[in-house]
Amino acid sequence: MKIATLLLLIPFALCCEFAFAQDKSTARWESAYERLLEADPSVQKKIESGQATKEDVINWLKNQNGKTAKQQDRNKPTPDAGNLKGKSAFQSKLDEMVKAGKLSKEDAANLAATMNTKAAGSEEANPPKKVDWDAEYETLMADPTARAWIEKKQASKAQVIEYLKNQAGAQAKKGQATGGVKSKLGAKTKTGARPGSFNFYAIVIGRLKSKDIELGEMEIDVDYVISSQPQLNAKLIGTRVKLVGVSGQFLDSLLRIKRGETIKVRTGDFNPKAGVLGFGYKFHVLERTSPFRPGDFGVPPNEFRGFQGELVGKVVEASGYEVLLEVAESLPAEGSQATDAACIVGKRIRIAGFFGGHRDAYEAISAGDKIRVSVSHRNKQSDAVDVTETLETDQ
Amino acid sequence: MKRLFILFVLLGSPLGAEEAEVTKTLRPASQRFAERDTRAVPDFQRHVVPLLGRLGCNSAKCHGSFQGQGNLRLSLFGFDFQSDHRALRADSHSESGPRLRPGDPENSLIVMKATEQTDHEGGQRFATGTWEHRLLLRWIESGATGPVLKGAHKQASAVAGNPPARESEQSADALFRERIQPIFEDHCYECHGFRSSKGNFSLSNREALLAGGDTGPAVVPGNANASLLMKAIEFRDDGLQMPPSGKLPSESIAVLKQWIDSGASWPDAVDSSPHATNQELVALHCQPSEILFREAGQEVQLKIIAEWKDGTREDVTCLCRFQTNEGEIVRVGSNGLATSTGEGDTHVIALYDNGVAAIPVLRPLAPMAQPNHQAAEGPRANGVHPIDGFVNAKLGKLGLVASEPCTDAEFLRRVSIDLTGTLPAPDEVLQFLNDQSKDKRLLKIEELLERPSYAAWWTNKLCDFTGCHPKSISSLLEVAREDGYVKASQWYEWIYQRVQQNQPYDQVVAGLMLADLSGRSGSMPSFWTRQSLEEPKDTAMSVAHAFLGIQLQCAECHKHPFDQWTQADFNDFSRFFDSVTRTKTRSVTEEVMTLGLLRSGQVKLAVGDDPRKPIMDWMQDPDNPWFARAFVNRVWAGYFHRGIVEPPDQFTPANPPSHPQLLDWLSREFVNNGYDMKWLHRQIASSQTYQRSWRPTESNRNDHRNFSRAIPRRIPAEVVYDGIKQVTAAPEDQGEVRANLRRRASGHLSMRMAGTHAMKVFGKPDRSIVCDCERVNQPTLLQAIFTQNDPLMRMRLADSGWLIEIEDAEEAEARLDTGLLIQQVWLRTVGRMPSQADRARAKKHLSESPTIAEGMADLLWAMMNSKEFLLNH
Repeated sequence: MKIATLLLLIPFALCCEFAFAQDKSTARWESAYERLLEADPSVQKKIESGQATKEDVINWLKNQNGKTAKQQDRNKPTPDAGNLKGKSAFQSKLDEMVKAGKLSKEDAANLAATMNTKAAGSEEANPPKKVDWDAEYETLMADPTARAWIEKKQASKAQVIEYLKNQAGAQAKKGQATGGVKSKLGAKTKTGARPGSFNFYAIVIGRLKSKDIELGEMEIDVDYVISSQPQLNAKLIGTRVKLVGVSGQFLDSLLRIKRGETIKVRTGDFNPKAGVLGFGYKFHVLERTSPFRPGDFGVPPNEFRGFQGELVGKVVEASGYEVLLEVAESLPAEGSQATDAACIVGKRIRIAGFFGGHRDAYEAISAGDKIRVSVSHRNKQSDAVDVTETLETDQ
Repeated sequence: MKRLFILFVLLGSPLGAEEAEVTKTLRPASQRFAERDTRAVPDFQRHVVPLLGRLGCNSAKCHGSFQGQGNLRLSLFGFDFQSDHRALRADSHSESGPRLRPGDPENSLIVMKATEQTDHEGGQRFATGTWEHRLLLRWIESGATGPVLKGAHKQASAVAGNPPARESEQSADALFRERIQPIFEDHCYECHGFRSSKGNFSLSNREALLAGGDTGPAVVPGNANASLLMKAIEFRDDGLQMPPSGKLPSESIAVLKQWIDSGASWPDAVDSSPHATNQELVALHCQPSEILFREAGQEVQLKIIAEWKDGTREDVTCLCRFQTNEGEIVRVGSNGLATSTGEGDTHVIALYDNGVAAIPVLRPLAPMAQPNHQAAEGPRANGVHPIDGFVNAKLGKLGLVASEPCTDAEFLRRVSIDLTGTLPAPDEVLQFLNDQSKDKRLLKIEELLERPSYAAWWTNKLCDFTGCHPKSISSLLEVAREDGYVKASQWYEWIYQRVQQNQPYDQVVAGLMLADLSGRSGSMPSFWTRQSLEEPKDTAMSVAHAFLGIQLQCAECHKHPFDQWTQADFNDFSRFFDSVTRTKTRSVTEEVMTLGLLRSGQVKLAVGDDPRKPIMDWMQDPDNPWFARAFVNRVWAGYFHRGIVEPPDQFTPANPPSHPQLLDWLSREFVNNGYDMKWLHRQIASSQTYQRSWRPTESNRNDHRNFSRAIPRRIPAEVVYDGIKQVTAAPEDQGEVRANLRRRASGHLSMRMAGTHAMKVFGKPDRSIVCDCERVNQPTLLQAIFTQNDPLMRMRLADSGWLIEIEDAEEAEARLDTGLLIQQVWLRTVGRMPSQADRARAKKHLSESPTIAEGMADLLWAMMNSKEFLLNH
């Protein structure tokens, strides 16, 4: 009797588990459907007008997922599988965008190429990293607070680089730094990240889901990430992340941005375990921005990467020490590594680093101005193109 | 009989009379130098410099500015006698000739300018033939003697008119400081100074001098003839002649040659601080010691006697600078004649040499009002609260009638804000108003002192004074993360725990002052490790401000104009903090030294000593003139919005307390009670003086400094923020909103919210400068705009849990008692029951609103925009 009962219970338990799994799965698709509606007004329009039903959309999402799964199956498992997974997620996101009419096929291809370049770079067999200390110096100087500090201390560039090297050395030795070398800059060398986090200097664009203006925290549905860590970018895109550490005047900015609006925020670190981003004080960026459209954001095309030279064009946007430029003319300099410098003409490119000597000229720039600017795309992995010596405004 | 004879002889002899004056009190310079043939010789420090000060010559607008005027630069307010003397003796570039002509004093430039016999931008300072004129002439013709520096051998008294012996051998450093640097300053630094280096040549230090510029090394030490600098200044080369304005006097060229030949010594750190002289002013005595006026226009002539360390006394009234702290009460002329201009009390300040004298001035209300208070001198006389005794005594003198006691509702709101930084909850107000017990106010004070919000609010204030600012704590690499906030929060928490446990104030300060810089053993090192403290002088200023209520800033560059502090005092005090400021990891004396402790004695430090220890010992000495007083005064100012010394961080002789006996008593008893902070709060809050109404009587309407009534003041930024949140919270959230210090602007948020618009608009200090004035409690137009339509206000109203509850109830068609709702609005915002008129207007508005919820939102908004809400009254 007991055995018979047991035999009856086993299928029942299996059924229950299946049903439970189905419930979970259904909830997941429901959630995905909700997110898509939020992300893509055209889908919402189709639903509202009756052109598509909720079931249609969920089936489409499942179909997309199936394609991704198949594609993943075709790839041999590698130690860097997580990266490929991230890449596929990004690809499917692009597909969604194209399907939804939010992105042209050409832009999607460009973005995919960008990702491939980044992924290819990351798949190399971890050679000893050669650090561009000049670039590191520039990055540090990009932070107005750090720059003011360095200028006050009258530290030379060589001293700052020495300091950065010490810092890097201390990090390499100790992992999470607990102390370090004392330098003219007056601080012990420590990592700039919060405990359990690593440095992650990125611009995150997404929709503000929730905010706490007292504790300086928010949740963002991430649409796009620009940083020199493509795997992490891909991992974050399409997810909801928590961002902490906002304080002072930035709480005012957070106060003014409403839930559902698109926010652009600079991060300083990332805690992979908790999935929490830390607010970064570099460039002081926390602002409301227009809904994300990749084509508008100014991601450099693959053929343009490594460019050095001058660009002439019209300013589309100038904020956060950055300029979004619609390029009319591309003048590569000797040594430029771009395979097709002219491919940028007619497109938009985001140029960063308008501080220091450029600060005054930058303050005078506004949307619609025509400028001539010398730029350098130092790190092909990165989407960041930096201004160098020249910044002229044509009246 | 013999004695009488000697006395007659002395009185009969003019010389004897003068000598008798020396041992007693010298007549004023205005009398002694009134005649041309006087035998008296003016002293540079005692007469010439004070005269220049009184005439305004060494003021910041004239020759006392850092650039000087017309090639003459004097030390600001005459604190550096040596450099002033050097400046006056230096050659002038004016066509009118040298500044001083000992053989022809009448034609000395300083005399010609001051009498406007030649063009003088500053106009005529005195007429010819006056005592000022004769004093200067007499000084010049008798050799224009300078100051005698401390330690230097004085061959003859300066008063006797003989110049001090010139030292036969000067050290190389002294040669540079006294002879070479002035030449560089006058002729070279404009083009080759610290900020300019024409021809790539700078004279900023020895290395730069030796390196030379485009034309090669400037100096060959030990060989002047081979040095390019000599070639240039001797005009030996047509193509290189310096200075371009004309060849230097031969004396200057000779001394430069001597300097180069002797090796061109250049001290590593040129000590530019003034050298002490051998004359020390002991005291300024005022006659009368206080002025009691009876009517407008009444005049009193002040007499100021200077007493010097050598025992001499002199009437220096004519050499003093006078000023008054309130011109509406008394006016004082440059001759020390005080004239009553209005009723009230203030001080006349006399300044001479390093001394400051404050003479109390008082004119009672006329006709004298009948006081409604018990005046009593001394603690608990006639059962009167000691505070009231001291305050009422002065009110009695002034003939001021104090205001009546405030209402219970006013008291509860006022004491809740002042003690805990929190608005009283509606239930609490009702309970307090219905309580009929006589001692309910005392019980409420005790209850509030036990609340965490008391500790939070006063911790917030202690963080203000001590400079707990996230951004000033962070180092370069910490700016990218939250370290500043973490450390500031730890700092806050460290003080909070001690205030909550009511640890004695001196122990709290000792915990900060003597903190183990490693942060071990529960110490709080952040006060010292702040990155904003870059130099020992920054730390010295911070310590003096935080714990002594003293502003030392002025003395960094020149003698403090209204205080006794000189640069030497400042530099000595700064040296205590050399080690801790430079290393931020240890506070250890590295060499044996003796340092002056702000004119409160000398401290000998041995190698390995912690220099902070003697400072803490000195502060804990019950006789310390500032430590307890500064805290007591700040706490008092927290309750009255005005210190007994006001501003509370300006303890200077020129800024005396309004109630000196009260401050003495409170400070002494605070120390006797073991620096018990709760004792202090209890004393102040339970006094009648604190519990007076803001409604003025006929006599005290204009009184702002005698505590005869409560002065309404805007509630602090943190209370505005927390108050708005509390007012709009749902009833069930009231407790959480008030108790959760993590989300209170007077709690942990005080760090995170520093720099936000709300905090800036309402004047929360950034804690980035050493001044209590950083907190601004004045009303502004921006504040009105903020409460009307700032996004924060809109958000609080839109998200109001209480309004949402009302809206839900309305939608559910529940019956809402609008009378009760209106009462709640008043209790929440202004802590009192609405009047009949209030109720009627509010009811009318609700009846005209589309919904009750909307009408209630309007009422809340309107009340939060009322003066009654924004003021503590």
